[in-house]
Amino acid sequence: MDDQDLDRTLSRMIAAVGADAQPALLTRARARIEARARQPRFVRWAMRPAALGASVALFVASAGLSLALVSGAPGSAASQSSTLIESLLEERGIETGSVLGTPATDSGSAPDSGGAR
Amino acid sequence: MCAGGGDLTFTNEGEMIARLRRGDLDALGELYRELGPAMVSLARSLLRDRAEADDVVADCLIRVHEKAAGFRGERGLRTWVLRIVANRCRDLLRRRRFDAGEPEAHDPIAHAGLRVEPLEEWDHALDQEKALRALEQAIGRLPPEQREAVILRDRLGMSQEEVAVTLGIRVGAVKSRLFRARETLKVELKKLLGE
Repeated sequence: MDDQDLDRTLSRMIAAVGADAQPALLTRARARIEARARQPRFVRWAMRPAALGASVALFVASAGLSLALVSGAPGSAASQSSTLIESLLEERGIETGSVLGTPATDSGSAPDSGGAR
Repeated sequence: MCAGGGDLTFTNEGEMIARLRRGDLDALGELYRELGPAMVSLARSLLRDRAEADDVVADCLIRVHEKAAGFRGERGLRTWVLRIVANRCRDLLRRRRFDAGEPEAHDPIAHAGLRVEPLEEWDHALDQEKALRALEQAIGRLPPEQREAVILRDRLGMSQEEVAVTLGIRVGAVKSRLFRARETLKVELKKLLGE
């Protein structure tokens, strides 16, 4: 068998194998398309991988932003604790400025600093 | 004879595309009747697993329905549809590289869910089915890019230009892949024919 015959035989052998279209595959695909069409538009949009990814990214970004805003805001955990200490000290009649290491403002200097009055 | 219906064309492709773009499910059915054999042959030949290939074909029909609105029809419906199938198969084959893969089937034709059209002018001293099975195993051992080219060109009967459009490569690359694939397969065939 020469090279041309071999080529021809090879082509015939490859073409001799194939498959038929199964009607069930079309039925399956149509059923899925119709089921999707029945879903509300928003659900269909939300089910898309890109939309899902975008939603998760948006959620993470907004959660991060909210956290940053809450921790930096007046009345947040840090400032609340300092207010609480001040209010406790005030309740016992102690000046907060001396306890916290800041000079008392009414006398001009701390009583034990040795400074001129 | 082309196993995948390679000579098929739509009588009015423009009208068919317009109907698909409108989301006409009957048009999708007509498309499947025309291109279904090629879609199924391509998927089963590339994946060599009937169940997986059938899932791919069903997924691709859904994809055709969803993406038809954006299809302009410049490169033909058949190449567009088969490109979707080939790309999906390529993705699955790439994923298979990360697991152990399947052992080579004893009968790759039956395992893939393919059927054999008896060959005329065959030397009856040779077992035709055995030879076809051995050739199918040899096709399965080809590098994926060569296998795609051989299946599209020789099994589905596409022209080299159509193969190039379907695979998104140049005609020169198709020729090169086909040449290398056929050289390998001819060596196998010579062994089968006892030369």
